[in-house]
Amino acid sequence: MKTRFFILLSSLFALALFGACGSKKPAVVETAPAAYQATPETPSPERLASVPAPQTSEVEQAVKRVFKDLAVVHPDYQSGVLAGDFNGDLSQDLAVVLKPVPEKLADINEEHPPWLLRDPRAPHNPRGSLRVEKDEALLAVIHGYGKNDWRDPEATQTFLLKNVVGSNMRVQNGMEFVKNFRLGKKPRPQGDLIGETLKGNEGYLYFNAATYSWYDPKTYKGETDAPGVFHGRPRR
Amino acid sequence: MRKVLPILTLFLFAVALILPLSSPQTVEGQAATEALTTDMDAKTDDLFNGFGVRGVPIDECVNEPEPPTARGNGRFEDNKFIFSERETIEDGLGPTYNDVGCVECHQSVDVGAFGQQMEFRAGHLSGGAFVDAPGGQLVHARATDSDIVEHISTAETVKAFRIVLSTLGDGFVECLSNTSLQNNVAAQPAAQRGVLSQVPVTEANNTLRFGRFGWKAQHASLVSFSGDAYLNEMGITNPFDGFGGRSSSAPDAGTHENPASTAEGVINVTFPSPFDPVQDPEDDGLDVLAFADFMAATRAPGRQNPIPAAATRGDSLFNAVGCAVCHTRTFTTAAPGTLINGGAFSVPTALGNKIIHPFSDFALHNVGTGDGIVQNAGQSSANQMRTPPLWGIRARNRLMHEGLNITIFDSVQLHAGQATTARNNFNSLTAAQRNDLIAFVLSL
Repeated sequence: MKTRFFILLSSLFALALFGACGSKKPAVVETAPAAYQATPETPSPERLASVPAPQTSEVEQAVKRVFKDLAVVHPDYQSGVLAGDFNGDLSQDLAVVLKPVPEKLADINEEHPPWLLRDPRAPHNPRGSLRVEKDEALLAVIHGYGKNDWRDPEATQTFLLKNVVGSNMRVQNGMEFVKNFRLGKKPRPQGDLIGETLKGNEGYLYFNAATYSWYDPKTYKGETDAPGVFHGRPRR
Repeated sequence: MRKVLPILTLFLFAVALILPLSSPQTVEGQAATEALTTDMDAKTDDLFNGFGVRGVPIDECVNEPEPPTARGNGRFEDNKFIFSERETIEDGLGPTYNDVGCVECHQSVDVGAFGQQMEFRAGHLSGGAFVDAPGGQLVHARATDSDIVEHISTAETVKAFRIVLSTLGDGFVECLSNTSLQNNVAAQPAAQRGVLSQVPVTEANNTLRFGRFGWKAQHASLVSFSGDAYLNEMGITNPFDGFGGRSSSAPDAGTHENPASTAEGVINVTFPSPFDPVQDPEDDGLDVLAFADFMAATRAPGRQNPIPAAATRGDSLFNAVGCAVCHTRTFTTAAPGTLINGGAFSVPTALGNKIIHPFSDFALHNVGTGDGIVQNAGQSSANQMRTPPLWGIRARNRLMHEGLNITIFDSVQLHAGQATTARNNFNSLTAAQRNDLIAFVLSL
């Protein structure tokens, strides 16, 4: 009897020991990423070899794509249509002077319109206080996208700018601008600029830090800091 | 003797029964469970996620905090205290630095979360390639001596500010396997597909792993991230401060304090220069482990509670519009016991097999907001940014990498490039739907 009991216990012990050893599994090791081949990054913006000048019908189509029936090309500024790479993303953008449709003022001033309303000459104005006024001349900059730049059906990222429609509006090449203003404080445009005469003063509209700003060579005091930004003086 | 044998056998039997219970258990095959979340309210004591031992809040008058000696063997409250300490020159602070402690930037709404501080990086283009500013692309805001406060030259035409990110829940992110991240981007449509950067894990002899932390996904482990931040944000050299230029495009950057770029030229500020009295490494690495383990032991940011009706309505729109392609809603962390970080870290039970909702794919994308800065993902990454996780975004009001946008709406409108379709879809919604979608994002 005692022998049987001993054999039974020994068997149980062996079983338990087997179970203990069997429960240890080799640690799983994370697969290394060595073989990973990154897919090509964003399709490189493909520039049209020769970008044709904006045609009236194309401009109207682009405006309608973004603004529907809320605004139209301003009849007094038919020549106020400019094409250039204003935001510096290697895609051609369209700048066009618009006039809000009076009956649609409430719609164009909705809280979350599909464009960004800005006043480059008053950058500290909180956006909430900006409103499109009746008969106001506004500059819309429609950023290009894809193979067809601003003509692309998906090209809708738009800045609607107040208080920047003047005369003698023209595209100023960004690289040339930087070269010509080597000395003194100057803005750092990401792309091309729009030069114009505004209230008797020559100035430039340029894109930087995710918005459009106004550069008046006579009064410019440097770029405005972002909230909480620190940085040093320019090198002597 | 006849009595001893059965007793001995019984004893051995009991030992054999206990043995399997004492060995590490895996949860393979078990269903994943939701990760613990914090309510994002500093008044609630709910940051600890169960990784390691909690301990008791440190009272310096009674006891000194003890850092861990290896990952996971310290106490959460001690690590939190060390994370919140202010460094001094005697500790190795500076000579150039951005702030005096982790919590100075990672503080709102609770220790480890957001801050409004900015990091400033600069460089220039040469032959179309980004080159660091002399002295390194990171231009520190502060110094311990006015002679070495950094100033950049006007020749540095590429400049970028980057706002502080939250670290809450980053332990779960660390425990996402390479395979999870890779499978996720592989499932993205080609036009939106992200790029996963391969970055060195300092504590694993620079083994490569998919990056997931930082605006450029320049870090893959919390120890590497902490070691880099200790050096580059506080100027404190340490064994984990890195090789291979994680914080810079320069191949030898990160091994000591970068020279200071001053108006008088580039000045060496590292020990034994007159500006740095402390021999390197200024920290033995234990503080770095404390930082890493504190972050690893924090809960993930939880949703707004209660969730507003508008946010509930906007929930499905987030997917319908296409936001969720890059702002990936859900991941599951690797199983407990999985060796990650090049084998340097075993996924603990508290962090393993957990479902998280970071709203990020941790991959690099070009959405038209790139800052032009290259770190360790090659020149093609200059205008790519990591998809920022949206969890906890309701607790910050300065958005995108430069912190220049103060509304979700503006941030959406600034999405271009790979996010163009999603933005256009957003603009196609009715005004009420757009409001609902914004309410949803602000409930995260």
